[in-house]
Formats: sequence, C-alpha cells, structure tokens
Amino acid sequence: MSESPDLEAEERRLREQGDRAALAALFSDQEARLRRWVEARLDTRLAARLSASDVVQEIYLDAEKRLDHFRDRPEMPFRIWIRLLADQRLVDVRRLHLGAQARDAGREVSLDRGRAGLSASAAGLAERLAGDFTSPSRAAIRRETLDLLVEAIESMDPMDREVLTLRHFDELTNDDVAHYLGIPKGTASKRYVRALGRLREILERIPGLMANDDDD
Amino acid sequence: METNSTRPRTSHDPTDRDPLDLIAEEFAARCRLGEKPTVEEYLERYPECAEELRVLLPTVGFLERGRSERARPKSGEFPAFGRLGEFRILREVGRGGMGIVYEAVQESLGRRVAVKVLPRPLASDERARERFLREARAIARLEHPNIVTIHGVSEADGVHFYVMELIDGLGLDQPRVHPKDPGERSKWVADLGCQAAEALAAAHREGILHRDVKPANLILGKDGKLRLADFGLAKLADDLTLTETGGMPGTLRYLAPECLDADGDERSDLYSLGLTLYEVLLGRPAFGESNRIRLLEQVREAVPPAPRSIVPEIPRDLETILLKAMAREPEKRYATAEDLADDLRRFLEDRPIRARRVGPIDRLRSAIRRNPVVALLSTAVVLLAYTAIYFFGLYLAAPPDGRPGAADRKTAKAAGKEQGPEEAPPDDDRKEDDRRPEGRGDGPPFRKGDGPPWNRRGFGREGMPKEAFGVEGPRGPRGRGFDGDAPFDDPRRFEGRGPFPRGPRPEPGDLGPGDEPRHAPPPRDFRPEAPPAPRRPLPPPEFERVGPRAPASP
Repeated sequence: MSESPDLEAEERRLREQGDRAALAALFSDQEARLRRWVEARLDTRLAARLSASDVVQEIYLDAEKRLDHFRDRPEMPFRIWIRLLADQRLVDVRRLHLGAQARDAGREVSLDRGRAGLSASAAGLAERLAGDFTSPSRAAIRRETLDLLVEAIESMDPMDREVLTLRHFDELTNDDVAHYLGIPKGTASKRYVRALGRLREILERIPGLMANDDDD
Repeated sequence: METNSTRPRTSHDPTDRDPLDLIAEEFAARCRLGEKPTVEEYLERYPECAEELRVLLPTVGFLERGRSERARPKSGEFPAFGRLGEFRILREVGRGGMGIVYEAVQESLGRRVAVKVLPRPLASDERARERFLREARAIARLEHPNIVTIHGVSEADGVHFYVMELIDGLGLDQPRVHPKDPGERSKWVADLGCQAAEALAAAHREGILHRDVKPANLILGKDGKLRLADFGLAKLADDLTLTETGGMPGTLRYLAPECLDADGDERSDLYSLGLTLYEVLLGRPAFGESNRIRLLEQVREAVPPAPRSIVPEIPRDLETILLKAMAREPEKRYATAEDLADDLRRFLEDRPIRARRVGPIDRLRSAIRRNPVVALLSTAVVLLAYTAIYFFGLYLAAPPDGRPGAADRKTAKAAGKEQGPEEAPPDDDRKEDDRRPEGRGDGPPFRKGDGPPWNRRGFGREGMPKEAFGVEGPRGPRGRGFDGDAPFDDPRRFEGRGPFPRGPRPEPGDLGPGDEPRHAPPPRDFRPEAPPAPRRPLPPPEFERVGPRAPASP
C-alpha cells in the first residue's frame, strides 16, 4: 500500500494542522476499501437494515470528531487509524441495533491497544473465497460447497482468519497488519505464513475447490 | 510450523519477516496487477523451499482470484441467465445502482415487458423477503398515467425482479434536445414537473414514497408523456441487500437533507423533484460535487445558487416554485405534491402562483439552525451596523430645534427592520437607502483576497451569509447595493447589502467586550452618549472544531 506523495502531504497536513480538507482527501482515498472492510465485518443480522455506505458515512463523521486522537498519535498511519475507528463504529452500531443480544460480542474497542475485538466473519471470508456464485469460473461452486467452506473456515483460529483477511481482502501490508493487531512485525509475518498453510489444508478437504482453481 | 532453515535470503528484507511471507507477498502483488504468475516459476526461483511454496502459492492465488472477481462490477451477477422464470431476456436496456433493466418477453402472454432485476437478497432473512414482497405488491397496485406500471414482482432462481411496462423513451438524465430558449424551456420543465408531481401525489395518497426521485427515474416517452419509474425501490433494495448496491452516489445527490438522519416523508420526495427539475432546467446539477464526501457536505449544508442568478431569463415565478420545493427545511416546502403540481399548473397558465418568496428572516433562522456560530456572528455584525446606522440616523434626522417626532419615527422604523424587513413597505426601504451613501465608502475598501472564513479551504463551503442574506427577492432590503452580476460566491453579494458598510468583515475576536463597532462607518460626529455596542453578542462556539481554523472565542 504505497501512498502517493500527495496523500503523504495530506496526511502530514492532517496531522499538523487538523485540516478538514486533508481529512476528506485521505478518506476519499480509503473509502472503497473501507466500505469493503465494513461489509466484511458488519453483523449479518444488521446487514438487512443497514448498508455499508451508511456506516462508512458515520465513520467519516466520527473521524471529524476524533481528529485530535489521530493528531496525538504520530506513529499511526491514517489508514490504520481509520480502520480502528471503523471497528469502534461497528461495535457501536451493533450495540445500538441489537441491544442486549450484542453484549456477548460487543466488547469495548481500545483504539490505543490496536486490537479491535472484531474480526471478519467466517461466512464473510468464505463468501469472498467462493467469489461470485454466478460468475462463470465459479459456477461449479454451489451452496453446499459454500456451506462446507464456511464450516471449515469457522474451525480456523480467528487470528489466522483475520490475518488472511487483512492481507488479501483488505490488502494491508505486513507492517499494517502488525500495527493494526498490535503485534510485532515478525510475529505478524509468521502468523500469516502459518495461516496460509492451514487454509490450504482446509481447502484440500473440500472436494472440487482447489481443482476448480487449477484449471484456469 | 513450516518454517525451517532452508529459507531463501531475500535482500530487501528489512525486518525479521518470514521469507515465505515475502515470496507470497510478491506473488499476490503480481496477481493484483493482473499478471498470472505460475507456481512453477517460483519453484524454480526458490528450489530450497519448493515444498512449502507448492502448498502456499496456490492458496495465495486462490485468495487473490476471489478478490479479482469481487472487484468486477456487481452487475456481472445477472446477465448470464437468458431466462428468468417465464421471461425470456432479450437485451439490457439500462442499469443503475438498483439493478439492471432488461427488455424481455413474457412468454405466457406473448408481450414485451421490462424486467428489473434487484440485487441479490439476503436469502437467509425470511422476514426481509416477506417485507419485500409485501411492499412490492403495494407498489404494483399504483395506477397512474405518469407512473410506470408494474405488472408484478417475482422471484426465480433466488433472483428478485420486477416486471414493468416497457416504455419507449429516455430518462431525463440522457442528453437530449431541450428547448434552448429559456422561456420555452421553463414551460417545458414546468410541464414535466407538473406531471411528475401528479404522479407523486397519487403515490403519496396510497402511502407510498418514491424515495429516489432523480432525472434518471423520470422517463420521457416518445409520446411526450412523462413517467416516474422505480417507486419505493430504493428502500426495498436497501432492505434486501447485504452489500452496497452502488446506487448511493446518484441517490445522494438528490437526497433531502433530513433523510441523512431520518426516514423522510412526502416532502422529501418533493425536495428531490425540486432538485431534479432544477438540474433539467439549468443543465447542471444543484450539487455537482463528484467526490462523495464533499457531496455529502453539500447535501447537508449547501444551498444551490438561485436559477435566475445563472439564467436571468428564467421566470421569477418558476424560480420561486423551485426554491420552495427544494427548501432545506421540510416545513418550508409545499405540504403536498398536489400543491406543487397546482402551482406549476398556475405558472403554465400564467395565473398567479401561491408560493411566496422566502424573506431574509426565514433564511437567517434556518441558517442559525444549521450553523449557529457563523449565523450569530453575522447577526451580531448586522445588529452592530444597524445600531450605528440608527444613531447616525438620529444624528441626521434630529432637526436643529430638537423636535422629538422625527427621532421617534426612526426608532419605530429601525425596530421594524430588525423584526421583519420583508414586511416593510418598499418606500421605507428606499428612504433608508437614500441615507446610506453617506455612511458607506468610509470603511476600508473591500479587498478581494480578504475572503471571509467560510470561503477558506477546510471551512464548510457554504457558510451562512448566503442563506442569511439570501439570493434575491422582490421585497425587503435586498436589492440595495446588490451586485447583481457578481458571482454567487462572491462576498460582495452580501458585503454591500443592507445598511452595514463595506469593509472587511470583523473576525470574531474583533467583537470583544467594550469594542466599539469599528467596522461601522465612523459618523462624522458620533455621539458619545450612544449606548455601547452590544457586548459579547456571541456565545462561545459550541460545536466541536479542531485545528487552527476553529473560530476564536472572544
């Protein structure tokens, strides 16, 4: 995720001056990815009521309000900070809409500790892996296969799942992942390689999945 | 753990990262660039860890390919079918955020129809599906010559779709031949608006909101008849979809501000129609920002320039109607679509319209609601100026023999002004105006670079003054010192207006306690017994702002 000099300048301006236009520019740059981020993490019980775009808009408003928080943390890249805000917003949204039901899951997010307490759901990851059902190259993957995949992915260590999601779907770098999860870079790297190996094992157990992958 | 000592050493490794991670990263990066790197290539490059790579790289490829397929437009989900239930799909006729429209043949009846496929629903949410079908049926019951008839709603292969009347025409968003002459064009737009408003009225009577009125949903048939499409679809699709439909940006552009926080009502539809007609009339959207975040700010805060400030030939009545329909506060709009249709009809028939133009006090009130600090600040400036003018007026009007009558009249007048200038008879305005030239020109000249804070970068673009002093209107103090040809954003448009003098606008800090109104023209012989200017006219800014641009507290 290399940034253009422009965005770096905007990030500097945001940090030094709290410039709202800089915030808008940086946010716009991250918006599409942030929406995917939210889609993958939005509670499925809420998805029918709330669009990811709504949540993204609220995140922008949160960012405006909490700019000081960003400015106080010179070591934190904007793209990571905005994701932590997103996680906080997701927790709030869940608590707001699901109330008591959410108590089990809705932990407080600490923006300072890095770890957000939210992870991409197994179903989300499986759906992403399966790609688009009706697209030609995935036509062979049917509902049953997807169910198997969800089940298998649910059995994975949540941290492995998270690392894979961050690296491949959110396209974060290893450094970003380490920052986001609040773990050393070397640990993040090893974690990622290990998660890849485990995912491979899972995929091999599901008939037709990797074969389908190989023929094109 | 697969890690072992035979890892390749990569020179560009600045951290203690797992070398396999670096290889996987490169592989993934190439996939993202659209390349198709082969596993074999990597096995040759790194024979020492071939075993691990043979396991890992196909997994990376799998993950990345899922990604690239997701990146494709969502619409890729539908076109492959060729058939939906009893409907044979012929061709795609249009697509929008809400779904794709196909021309299709309904085989059982042998008729051509339009089929609109909705985004894939949350299959697991039974309640959402039921609600969808119930609302869809309600919409399908709508019957009006200006509403696209919905034959039914159906589901096949897990795909929801509407079956609609096929219309030979184009959406108003399509480039087409508009009448060029502003007069003709105004009539043309008013006629279209009237038809659309009648369609909305019919739907609203059934308790159905459109929720997505925009040029693309107003379809002008070859028969010259306008039809409103996609009733209530925005909400249905919203309820149904798990993922972003991509329809939001288009919709956001015409969204009523109250809908950002709440559900909205009939009047929200009227607002969207107002914005739509505005765009068709002027050939440019009211809010043209393409960046979504800035567009959001426009929707929330901006007031588009009045039509006549762009095309002066547009009839005043039509402008009044449009500005009423698209008033930011719902209560200022037409109460019903019927009322809007009625006023447009009056305009078309050259009868007097019912809408009244908005006075400056109304605009001030709404500005205060939106942006209290800036609004109060500006009010304070105006009051200061009025105070100055008032005492200056006393000075001028006081006859040498000190008869009390003149001063009393002035008092009444000045008080009346502060309450509701738009109610003052025009003569009064003129009289006050006559006095003014003596007061103006004393202040420092307006300098172009001296933009007011709301025009600076980072500050909400549309500050309060535009609304507070408004576009222009037939009554009230506007028109005096009005730089009619200045661009709308030009501060001069309000700078010279009203009895406050030309000169740089005071910064908040200038209004400190005991500060004389030094921006008011110093009258030649200002009376020392004049009461002091209002002290601390401002509460400290209450909204939270960060950064150096925050308005300084007094």
